[in-house]
Amino acid sequence: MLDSLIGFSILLLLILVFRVPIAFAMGLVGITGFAYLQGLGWDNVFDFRWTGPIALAANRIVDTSQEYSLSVIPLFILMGNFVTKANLSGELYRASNAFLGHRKGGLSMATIVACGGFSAICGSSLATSATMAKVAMPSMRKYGYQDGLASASIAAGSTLGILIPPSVILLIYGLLTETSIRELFAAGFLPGLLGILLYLAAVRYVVWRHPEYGPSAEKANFSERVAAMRNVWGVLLLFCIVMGGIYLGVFTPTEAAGIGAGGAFLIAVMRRSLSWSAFFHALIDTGRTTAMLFTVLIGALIFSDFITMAGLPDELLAFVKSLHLPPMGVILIIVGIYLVLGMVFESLSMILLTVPIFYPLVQSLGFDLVWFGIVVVVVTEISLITPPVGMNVFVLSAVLDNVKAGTIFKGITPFWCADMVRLGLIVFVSSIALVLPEILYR
Amino acid sequence: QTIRVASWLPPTNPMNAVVIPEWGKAISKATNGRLKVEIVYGMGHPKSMWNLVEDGIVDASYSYHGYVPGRFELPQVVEQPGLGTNAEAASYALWNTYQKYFAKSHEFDGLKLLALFTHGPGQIYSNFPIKDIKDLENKKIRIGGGVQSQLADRFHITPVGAPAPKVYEMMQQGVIDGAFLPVGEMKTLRLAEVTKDLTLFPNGLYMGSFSMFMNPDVFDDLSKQDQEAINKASGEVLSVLAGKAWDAGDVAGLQSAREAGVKIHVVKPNSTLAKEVNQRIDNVATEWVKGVDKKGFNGDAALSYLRETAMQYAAKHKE
Amino acid sequence: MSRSPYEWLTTAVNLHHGDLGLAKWLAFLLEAVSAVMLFALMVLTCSDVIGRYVFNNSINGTTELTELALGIIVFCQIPVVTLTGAHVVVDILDRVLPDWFATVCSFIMSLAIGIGCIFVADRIWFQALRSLRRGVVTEFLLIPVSYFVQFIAIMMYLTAAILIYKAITSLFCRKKEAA
Ligand code: NA
Ligand code: NA
Repeated sequence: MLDSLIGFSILLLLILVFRVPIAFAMGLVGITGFAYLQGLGWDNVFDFRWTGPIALAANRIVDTSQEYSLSVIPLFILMGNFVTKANLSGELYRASNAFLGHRKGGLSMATIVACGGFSAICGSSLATSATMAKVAMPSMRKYGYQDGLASASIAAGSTLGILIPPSVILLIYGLLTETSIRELFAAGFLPGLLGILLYLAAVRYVVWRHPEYGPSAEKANFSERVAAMRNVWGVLLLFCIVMGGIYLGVFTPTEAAGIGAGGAFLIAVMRRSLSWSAFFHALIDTGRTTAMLFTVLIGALIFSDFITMAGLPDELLAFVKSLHLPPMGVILIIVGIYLVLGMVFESLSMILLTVPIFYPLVQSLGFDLVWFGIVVVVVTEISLITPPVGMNVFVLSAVLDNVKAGTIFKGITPFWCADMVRLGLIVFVSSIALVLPEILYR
Repeated sequence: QTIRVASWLPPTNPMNAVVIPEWGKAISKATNGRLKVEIVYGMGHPKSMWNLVEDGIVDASYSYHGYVPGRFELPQVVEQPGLGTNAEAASYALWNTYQKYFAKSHEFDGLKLLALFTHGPGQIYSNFPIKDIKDLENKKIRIGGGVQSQLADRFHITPVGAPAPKVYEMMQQGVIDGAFLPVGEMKTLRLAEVTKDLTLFPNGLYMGSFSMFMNPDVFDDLSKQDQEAINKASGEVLSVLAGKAWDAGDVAGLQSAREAGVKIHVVKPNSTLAKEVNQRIDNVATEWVKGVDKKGFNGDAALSYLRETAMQYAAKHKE
Repeated sequence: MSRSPYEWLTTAVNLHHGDLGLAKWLAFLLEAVSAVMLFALMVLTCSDVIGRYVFNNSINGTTELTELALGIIVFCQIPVVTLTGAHVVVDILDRVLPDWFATVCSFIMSLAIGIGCIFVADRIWFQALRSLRRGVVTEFLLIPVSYFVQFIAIMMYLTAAILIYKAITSLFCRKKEAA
């Protein structure tokens, strides 16, 4: 346990105080931590056999940067960039404003629903934040929304897709625990919906306390709404094709992303709204954002390799067992551990690290593994917006040049609270998760 | 001391549920508990396992040769269609054939080879019934590499290469219309939930070879006694153990396919479909022999020896 | 200069990285390669889907081409992201800590990470040669993977050089950054 804790502390120190880029900090701690486990000490730095630790990093770098399933990231970001650069996003928001603008915080709510839907299908929270940041942020600013609320809506909304099926994380959980994936997907649906509703409530709360954060506009009349719709039907159709295509199994997420990008490109070209310079800028910008995301992902993987090798998962299990708590107490402790790990981990590595260790215990206590899967995934979602390492928040602050991570974290507090409410509901009212699978499959 | 074995299949797969734990128990017992074996998950793509072990990141692992096209041609001797035994006999034969004919090859340089084995006979999972060989044409079928690429070519399917743990997602999303896999994955990868049809060919279409290996430096650092214990639990013994476990997995897989209501088509050996398939895959092995001959090994002799050994083993161990 | 036939090129280069001196040409070249690869990836994916539904024939080896393209897109950009200092950092404590502290940190950490990157790049290069020797190729198109791994190694060396260069200049250009 000690090795892992020291690793965590050094990582936090590097990231927070020494201001080392997250990716490098995680890689550095991962490599030296792993070397320490293999016998590195102060006295043998120069004759230590560094091959293992260095090769660990080398393998992760080469494999991750050529991982097929990650190709959704650049393609979806490219779609978002084309939509934005051709100024289609402005029109999208003009349309949402025509329909929802008269409500306080209406655009924020529209953003949450849009992000939830988009991340649900594209399957990557990071790609969703990066894409939607380009589409939503400039327009919300234009309509006078406060940066904190606007960016937090995107960051929080993008986490929803991990739970709403199809969900890669649930799938991996299912394989790890031998739980029905079909039931897991069904079980994820209502909690996902609940998440959207609670986020909307969080927006209502924010604009109730600070009406100036999400100002309302004049109510648009019918003909104004029709006019606004006329400009955006092409893009809306594209979104529908992309989303429907994945749900119906017409194409894979990567293919959908390619079609989305290609379609956005065609729409922009046909409307003559994409200059050469904007075209190149969209491509270059996409590449840059992709590279930033990949470096962070690679760093996170190296770091979690170190934690795996340090034996943290087994030690955590021993710790939980040693407390001799009643069953619900064990669950609460596990949830607590996940929340703490969530501060520094990226979602997938957290699942891979902990689930194989904890699920036999949970099962032996008589809990339903489908339900536990939903609990784990909800906590994982929360980790994406939990400081200090909230991956969604970083992506946003990196994509939006002049918004600081601190601002987003501040704006995200009400959403984080909404998530905790949801987590509590799902933990204590297990039927929220289990009612659908029971009706459909049991 | 703990030997960490990196694993990439789910915890319920025979590799993690049976093979590695039993191997570990044998070693632990022989060394009076000085050596312990532990499985670690989540270390990455199966194709990187050889590197992870060679570079000393983990102590041991196992992987599927088809995931690294071009590097492991020789163990494919067991993958050639027409062998006609179960995985246990095939694994026994593979280990011994490799020792006899290919021991001088450099395929496992930098690694200590612990076992060579195969999963059960490969069959076709699909979301459409296969009545005629033409039903397969232009369908997107997942293949695992190795000899399966050849089969894909002969059947005129559109091959999609992917490691086994990805198949559920791809079947569910319609990325693929089917997959080449042994029947056991119905259970361990939960594919019974997303597969409509399972077509069982007599003796299967192919086999798929794995190796299990260890870092030689880690091995050399052990005491003579402990090295002896590992050697005794590995090689032929471990290969047979693994083959047996995969066979048992197939039985369980077929069971869960039945329970889940997957339509199971058993192809009779003298049916038109079986004949058509045999015709298409007739000389697949010849291609492999040619490739191996070019590398300076006697492919023909190795293939005959393997088939003979496997048949003898199967005959001896029948009931 | 303004009469040069390549004026459009200079303009394009200056548009994004006018402030980087000579390095702007390198940045521009890398970005251009990554942009072309990205667009090609988009076209490839679309053609694959269209081919499948319209002509009932998808492109063999799309997966492996996608993987190789992804590696190029990412690794063309990593040196540029490093050069422009666009990596994801946590800025929560920025206002609390003194300026000199940030400078010292940036020097030490850039240097350490830069040196670390050299070792990692070395290892990647070594692994590339190893897999070349062992004849590792892609499944359908039989492309030798090692050349792409070597490319990644070169880009890692470049990233390392940039980090070390930045570490050194951070000591001298403190005022300029503050301004
Ligand atoms: Na999803
Ligand atoms: Na977090």
